[in-house]
Amino acid sequence: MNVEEALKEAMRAQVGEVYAPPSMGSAVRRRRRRSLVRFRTAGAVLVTAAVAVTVPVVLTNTTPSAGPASGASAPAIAVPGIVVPDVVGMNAKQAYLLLEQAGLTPMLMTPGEGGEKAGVVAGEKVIMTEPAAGTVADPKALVQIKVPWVPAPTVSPTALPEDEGGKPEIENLGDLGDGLTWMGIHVGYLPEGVKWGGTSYVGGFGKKSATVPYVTQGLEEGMYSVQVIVSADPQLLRRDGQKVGPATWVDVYDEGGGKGDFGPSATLTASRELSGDQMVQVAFSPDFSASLGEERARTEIVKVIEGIRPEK
Amino acid sequence: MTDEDEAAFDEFVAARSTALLRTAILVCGASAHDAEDLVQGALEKVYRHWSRIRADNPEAYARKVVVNSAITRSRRRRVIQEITFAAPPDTPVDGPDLGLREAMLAELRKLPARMRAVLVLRYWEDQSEAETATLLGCSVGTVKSQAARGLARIREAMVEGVPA
Repeated sequence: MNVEEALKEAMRAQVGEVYAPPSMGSAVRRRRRRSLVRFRTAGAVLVTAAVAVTVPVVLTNTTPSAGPASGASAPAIAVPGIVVPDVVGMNAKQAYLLLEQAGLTPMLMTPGEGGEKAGVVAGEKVIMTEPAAGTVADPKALVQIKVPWVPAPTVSPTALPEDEGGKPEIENLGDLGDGLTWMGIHVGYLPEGVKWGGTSYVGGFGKKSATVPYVTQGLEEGMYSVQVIVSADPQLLRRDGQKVGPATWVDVYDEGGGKGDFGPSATLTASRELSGDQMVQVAFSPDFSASLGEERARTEIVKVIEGIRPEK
Repeated sequence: MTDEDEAAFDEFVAARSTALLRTAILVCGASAHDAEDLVQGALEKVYRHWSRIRADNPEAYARKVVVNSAITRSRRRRVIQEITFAAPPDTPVDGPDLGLREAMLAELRKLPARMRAVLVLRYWEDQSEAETATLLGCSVGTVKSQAARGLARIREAMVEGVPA
């Protein structure tokens, strides 16, 4: 194998099984700050990688009717059309791969926007395709794969269901009461009108890390106003900002993590070394910062980070 | 933006985001969910200008944004928790090629960002030299020389990756 082919093969092995989540379009629209979205989607990507291992079996069983599916061995003749394979009932990821292999352009569709908020997630079983199975489509034609909304699994950090092969669940910290004391810290000060949002996420920011979002009234689901992150990972600590206290810095970062200017696309962030193995970071969402105004936001964020203390 | 624009954007995202995501992972060497974030950011730019660019090859525009932001981001290696230069996602173990593949991917991640982008565009996306040059805003000659140098380094890694 020459180096080009080997490289291509290695790249395929790395990313061939990665799929964009169906929520990409709405995520783009709602994008203001990505932390929470990232937590939500990280699990899905891992599941994709696990599921994909079983796909070749499905392919060998079902592709004969599916047009030029077999890559190199397909004769180089003009293909007038591709019969859309029947993928109803199949796992959506497998269906995607199958349609892709068949020379079509699959699109993973969920039933609509509304389901995202109320305890439902996109199901895995395909309920229909459009065009339907058996239709002759042009090569590269779009085929929509539709999945239903299903009730969201209740997340339990202790018992992962065995029958799902221990797929990664996003852990949380459970019921935090007032949400101010967790992971060995106590949040002693929050700006007026800000309270615990009822959720938490574990492990997204390096080893021994967790994050808790705090919200103002009427905030859209999944968004945050103030987010506190605790991690043992020293990378969480950003020393490049304005020093506002002992081992405490404040600055504004843009979406790529570079320095930004105070405004709608940048996040006011304070970080502090609480002890040698515990860093805390406080972020004010761009919307929340804007509602306070720059001067007040900077004062408030200092109060929040200074109000955090270690708790036994 | 009209309803029709919105619908067309949805269709575009559904059809192209997986391809963009894969390219982003390869170019910036990040984990899948960091790359997803990057693609979202890029698509947000596309969305912002959608009514203007939808008729005029939005895919090329999106790819350009993704590749350029992936390059920028991979240069900023120091960046907080945004990018973990982690090992690639777990892939099924399927034979003795694995060590070799790992060595090649590791070498790919070590290349300068632009050189890596050239290799990804040429050999993963199968873009022509001219298309790659347009996407990266450089000359065809640069694409040729970067590809040759990148491949040479990968080849070295391949040779070293094979147990004697």
